Amino acid sequence: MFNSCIFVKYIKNEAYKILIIMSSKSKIRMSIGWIYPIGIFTSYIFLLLEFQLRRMLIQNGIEVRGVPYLTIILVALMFIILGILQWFRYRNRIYPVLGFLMGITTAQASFVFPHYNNPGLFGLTYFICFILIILFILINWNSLYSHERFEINSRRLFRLASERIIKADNGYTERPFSGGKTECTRDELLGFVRFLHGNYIIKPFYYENYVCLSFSMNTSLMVIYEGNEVSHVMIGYDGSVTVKLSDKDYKDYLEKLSFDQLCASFADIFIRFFDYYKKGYESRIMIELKSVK
Amino acid sequence: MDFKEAAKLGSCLSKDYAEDLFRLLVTYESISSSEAASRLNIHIKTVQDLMEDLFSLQILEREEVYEGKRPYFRYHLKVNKITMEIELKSFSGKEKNKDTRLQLKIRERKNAGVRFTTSRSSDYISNVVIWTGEGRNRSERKINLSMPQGRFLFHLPFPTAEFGTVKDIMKKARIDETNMPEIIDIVDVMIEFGAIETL
Repeated sequence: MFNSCIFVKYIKNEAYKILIIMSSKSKIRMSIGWIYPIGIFTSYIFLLLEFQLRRMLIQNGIEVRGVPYLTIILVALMFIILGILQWFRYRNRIYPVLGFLMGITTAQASFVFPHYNNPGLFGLTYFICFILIILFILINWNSLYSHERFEINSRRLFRLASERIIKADNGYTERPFSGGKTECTRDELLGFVRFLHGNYIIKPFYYENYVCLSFSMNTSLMVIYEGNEVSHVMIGYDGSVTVKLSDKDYKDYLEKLSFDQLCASFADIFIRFFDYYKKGYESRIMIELKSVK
Repeated sequence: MDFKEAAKLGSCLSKDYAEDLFRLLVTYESISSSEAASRLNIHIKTVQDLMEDLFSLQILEREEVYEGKRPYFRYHLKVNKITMEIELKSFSGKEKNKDTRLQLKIRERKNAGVRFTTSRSSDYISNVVIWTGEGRNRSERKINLSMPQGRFLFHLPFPTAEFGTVKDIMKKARIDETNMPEIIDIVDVMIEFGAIETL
């Protein structure tokens, strides 16, 4: 009992350290996706505690089942709530459905524990739900995978843009920022856009006079129909660069950054990436993105 | 002739009975309001008001006459021709202030409560929606912008950016100097509504 208490304390301290490191190093609010591993990891601690508690109660002659119902219900609720939260954040219906399926399946997990002698119908529904989850993930794999890649790279872009930017009062404006011009031909631009899209850095939308390169830390790029629904950089076929950041994305910064400098930084990044592409140094784009802390 | 006088004259000439009254004034050496009213078969006050307006515009002259108990005015034409000339350039006004306005340092005001709508081509602002008042008195005012005005507001410095002079912003937005009056006009409107702040 004493050993398990020490172990729990140790785990708690380590988890706290990880959270501190994550929040202090990043300028951007944590992604919801991070809550899943943290939640699941924490649930194991709860599971151990509940097992221990139930064992003690059984040893003391109190009749309780050996199944950790409380932890199972908590984890099930976590999946459902996180699914709903992700729906609100990403506007993608896949997440609440998946969250609900996972929640329901987890809730039924108690019936298939070895301590449970007769799972009956719940045992069957548990496996049906489990198969449904697998099928659902397989069918929506493209959307789930693409969203994750887009979000990761968008976060990298936002981190990269915020480097060396001074803190300032909230200067957000809905107006687009004119980020200057770059030398380009139509073919070069289209090639560059295809490269960025192929690496899940942006989602492009093609218009008559320009290409809109959309990226977002919030609304999923898999559910938008127009580039201007999220943060975007527009590059005209004449080389003009315009930046527009969404209010939601700007609010994800933990500290208020000078908005004009942030927009200028985005314009610089895309102009620099375009230069890399024109000179044949495409690999530098990914290296630069991945190197950002 | 200034605009107010021109408007007054326009109003006088637009009356249904104005032509008949001028015909009488040309025909008679002088005529009183009551004589003209009886001749045109309209109320004396209506004619008197019009004649007084024409007198104030120095188209008619009047003479006070004493016949019987009460004095009255007799009117006759002072001019044989009416010309209306308005200098439209004068409306742009502030000619002497233009240089000062061009040097004005401006930027967008923080949390101004203004919505900017970008054009489809995304290189200029097509309209600005400004909300004024509070609660039930809150009203929305939409200003559709001309292309040069839209381009100007597109390049307006952000709320946290350095202030920029009107002239510099015009240069950045590649706006011709001939569009200067309309740019100064929109700047004045935006300052009035608190959407732009000055240094």
